[in-house]
Amino acid sequence: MSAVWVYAVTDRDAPLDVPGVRDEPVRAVRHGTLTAAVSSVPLDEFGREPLHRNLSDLAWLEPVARAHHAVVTRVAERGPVVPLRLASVYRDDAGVAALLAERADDLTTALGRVTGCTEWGVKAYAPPAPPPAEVATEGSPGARYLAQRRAERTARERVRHSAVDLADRVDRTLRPLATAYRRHDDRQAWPAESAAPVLTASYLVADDRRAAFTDAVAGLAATDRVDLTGPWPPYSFAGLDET
Amino acid sequence: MTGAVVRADRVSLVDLLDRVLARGVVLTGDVTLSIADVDLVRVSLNALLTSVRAEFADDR
Repeated sequence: MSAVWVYAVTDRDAPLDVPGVRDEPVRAVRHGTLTAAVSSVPLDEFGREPLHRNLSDLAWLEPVARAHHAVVTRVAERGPVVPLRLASVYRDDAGVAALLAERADDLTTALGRVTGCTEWGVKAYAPPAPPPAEVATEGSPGARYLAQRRAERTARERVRHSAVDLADRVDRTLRPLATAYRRHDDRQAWPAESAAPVLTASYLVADDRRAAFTDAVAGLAATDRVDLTGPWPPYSFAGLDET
Repeated sequence: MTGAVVRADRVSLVDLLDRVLARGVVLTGDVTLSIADVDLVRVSLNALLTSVRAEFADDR
């Protein structure tokens, strides 16, 4: 018994020359102008129950996630793509075609939104904390203690301010170069974990602005730790319920 | 190191899983058998993050 794994939806021909999950051949399911890139997966491994078990096993998950991403990336090389969430498994090809029909308008809109664009991931990290300020070594133990506490508080505040400044500067610099953006970090949570980025964001960038965008990131990275990943298929921007 | 451009094809598993599991379109219908969600992979993700942190510490 097998089911159907869907990788992505596009309005171009789906590539058939890349292996899918478990090396199964990728095929196309069409409805109107839409094409879903799909492959068969065995139900004893990918049915609801076994899948839920397998997803909690990293050794199982990694090759599956990489295969999914490889197919999505290959489709994206041909044209606009709406990537599906990992492990989107359906009963059969006819069911997938019916789903394409049902959501045709939303899918077409989403494809239009990402046409000619790629996604870029940006993470900015807070500058290292400055060395502790000189603290008076004179005066009573009580006064020294209070001065020490004050200095620590000031240092913490300074780190927090420079982190917020950096996040704002990165966002202000990059957002005008992007078609759309998503902030993924929880600004309130920082610095719950000081090694966490102060900004985690995705930017949807038109192909003709790619050089300007990557140059701008390089400019930011000259003075601060700003990491760039990409180009990605538009995983963060292909939502169906957005305008 | 200050700043780095990382090619997506060598990108870390953390960034990849973040995208394929937490983003990507959810297309549900009568014929849907399953879709991954972050709750289902929490065990995997915790194991991954622990190993990444250990590698990170080794680099220091």
